[in-house]
Amino acid sequence: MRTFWDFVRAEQQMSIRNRQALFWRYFFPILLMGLLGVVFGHGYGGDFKLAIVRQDEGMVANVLTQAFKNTPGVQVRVPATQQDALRQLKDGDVQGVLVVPAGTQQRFRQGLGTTTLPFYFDNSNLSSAGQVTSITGQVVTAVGDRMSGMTPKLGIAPAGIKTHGFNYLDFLVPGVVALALMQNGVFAVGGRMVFDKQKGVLRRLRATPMPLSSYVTSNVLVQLVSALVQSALILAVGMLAFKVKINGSLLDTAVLAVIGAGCFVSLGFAIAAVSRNIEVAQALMQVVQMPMMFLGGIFFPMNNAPAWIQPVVKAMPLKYLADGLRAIVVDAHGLWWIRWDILILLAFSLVFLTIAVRFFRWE
Amino acid sequence: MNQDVRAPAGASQEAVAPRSESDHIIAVDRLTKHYGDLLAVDGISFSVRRGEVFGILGPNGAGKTTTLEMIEGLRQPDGGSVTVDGLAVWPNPKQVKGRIGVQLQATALFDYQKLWEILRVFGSCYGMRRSREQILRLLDRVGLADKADSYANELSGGQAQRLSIALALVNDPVVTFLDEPTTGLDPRARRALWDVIRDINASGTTVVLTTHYMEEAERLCDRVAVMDHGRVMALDTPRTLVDGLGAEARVTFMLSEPLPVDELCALDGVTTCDAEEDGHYVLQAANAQHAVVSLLATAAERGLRIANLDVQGANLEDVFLAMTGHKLVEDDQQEGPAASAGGKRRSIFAGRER
Repeated sequence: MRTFWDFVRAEQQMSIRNRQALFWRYFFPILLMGLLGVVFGHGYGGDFKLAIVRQDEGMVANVLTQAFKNTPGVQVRVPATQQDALRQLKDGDVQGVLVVPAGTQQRFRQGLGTTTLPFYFDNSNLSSAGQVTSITGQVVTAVGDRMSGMTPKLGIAPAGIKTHGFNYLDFLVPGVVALALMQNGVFAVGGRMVFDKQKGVLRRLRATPMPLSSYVTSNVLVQLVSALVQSALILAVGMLAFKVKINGSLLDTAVLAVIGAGCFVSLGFAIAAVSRNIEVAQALMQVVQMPMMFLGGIFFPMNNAPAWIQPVVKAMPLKYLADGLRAIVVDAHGLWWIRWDILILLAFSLVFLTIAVRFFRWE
Repeated sequence: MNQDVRAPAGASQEAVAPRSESDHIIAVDRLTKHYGDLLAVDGISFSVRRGEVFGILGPNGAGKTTTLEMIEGLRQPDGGSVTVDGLAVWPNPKQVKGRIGVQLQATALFDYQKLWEILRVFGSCYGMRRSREQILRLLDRVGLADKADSYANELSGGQAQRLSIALALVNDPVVTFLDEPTTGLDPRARRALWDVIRDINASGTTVVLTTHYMEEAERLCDRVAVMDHGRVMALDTPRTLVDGLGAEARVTFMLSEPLPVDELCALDGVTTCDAEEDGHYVLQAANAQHAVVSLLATAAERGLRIANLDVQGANLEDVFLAMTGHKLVEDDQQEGPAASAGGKRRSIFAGRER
């Protein structure tokens, strides 16, 4: 046991003294988050410009226009024609075009079911698209509700995007935590294992009476603790610098972070086990982590990505960790709410560990 | 010739029978290891006396490292037995590992750990708490006291080898195993390391080392086992091995003007002679002194000048050549590629083995 803690101390010293690793572990995720946050987080936050095309000049159009004017952070323009409005959208002068078609007032009066208003947005920018659609949809629905009493009578038509809320950063920050946990687990533990194997460290340790499991577990323990520190740091910066509200339980967040880190540490071991040398391992790690980084729903939601890619997304453990963290951190759900995400992460861990045990060689 | 060669090998068979429990610290009995179809170690037997420096000499791929690994409890033999300090290594590898010190070929250590910290954590692997002072004394024994606070990746090749030898001493072992401790070092670093090894031995630790340097075996070892193709070809003191060869001295020189080879052959003490294309003459002499004296006399008589005169006695290299029919280190075999080829071979074996 003493040997174990001596190794924990050595591991911890090594992880602190390795400046490069420190950068990638703690600074890079924050840098990434900061960059994305500055570019996308505040880009439309303060001044979402909405063009309302009033083909119907009735009360509905008036109330809607007024409602948007009263919504903080929304600037309303009223171009003469739909063509003008769409040109402004293409030029980037406005981020959304809401059309109130002729006859809306009449249909609304007659109570002919839900009236849908065409809504155009720039879908070349998924994050802002989600944001503007969400804002517009909410305002329109609210106006419709208020005007008609209980049953929603008004909605926008192509509100196809379901976002995680108004704020891109609420979406981004838990995702960056998940991303950092993945990269750390895969590279720090898996990479280290291959290195130790190839450079003969494991061989040398095997020549002592100490069981190698002590060495591996000390390595994993230090890694899990650093995963917690890392998550806390990213969330703290998100909270202080980007005003992300941490709504959920910190304990639940920590539990999920450890489960997620464990899953990716297992993935790291699996990659280490099947790799002949450091070069192969590094290539494999990139092959595994790159698609997850971009398709795992970290930087932008994958819900509106093409259908054919959805099975790929669903096969990525990172997606479940990111979804779970968002559910806890932003939406304040408990662990029970995300039980399926947790179960899937544990199942992935089991698969990875099985591969690791099956293929691992001490030399 | 063949008869002479087998004589020392026969002597080694005698040494196998342990005289007393305390006299022999290691007893290897018909140890065998296969890697797939390859017979890496072919039923070898020998024993190591307490307190000696025991060398295993042989070319790359002779089975030296595999033999060591089976003694160290790192590799399970297919057959035979080995005891260390009275304890059967198999099935007690863990206990044996605790009593021995091991230096492995080409081992990297932890980056971002200082030397004394590495030694502390390795001491911990043996269940030993080492104070900084104890560790500094150990580093001093291998001449690294001033590097205690350096990182392992800042060391030169020779210093790294010293560190790995310090690691092989961290648990105060009764016997320490050094696997090609000087491979890849320049001659100066090699000699300095020999001094370190002698000091370790002088302080009472039995040393078992492998080498493919004949000089290293001659200068450092009390006894040498000559290994080739997984077998021990001979085992004795370097002196006895060379003497047992009954080999002749080799006299080489150049002359200012050519002389018929027949005339040189007629010189006192010379058995064979040869003229090489580059102008060198090579004499094999049963008595080097007589041969050289009569050569000088003949040259003076004829007014010839002698250049590049060189007299070489027989050495372990010749023993090896005589016994195996090939050289210890092939002429075209450079140090680097040879070493890496050895490493590659091992990893292929490891893949097959499990």
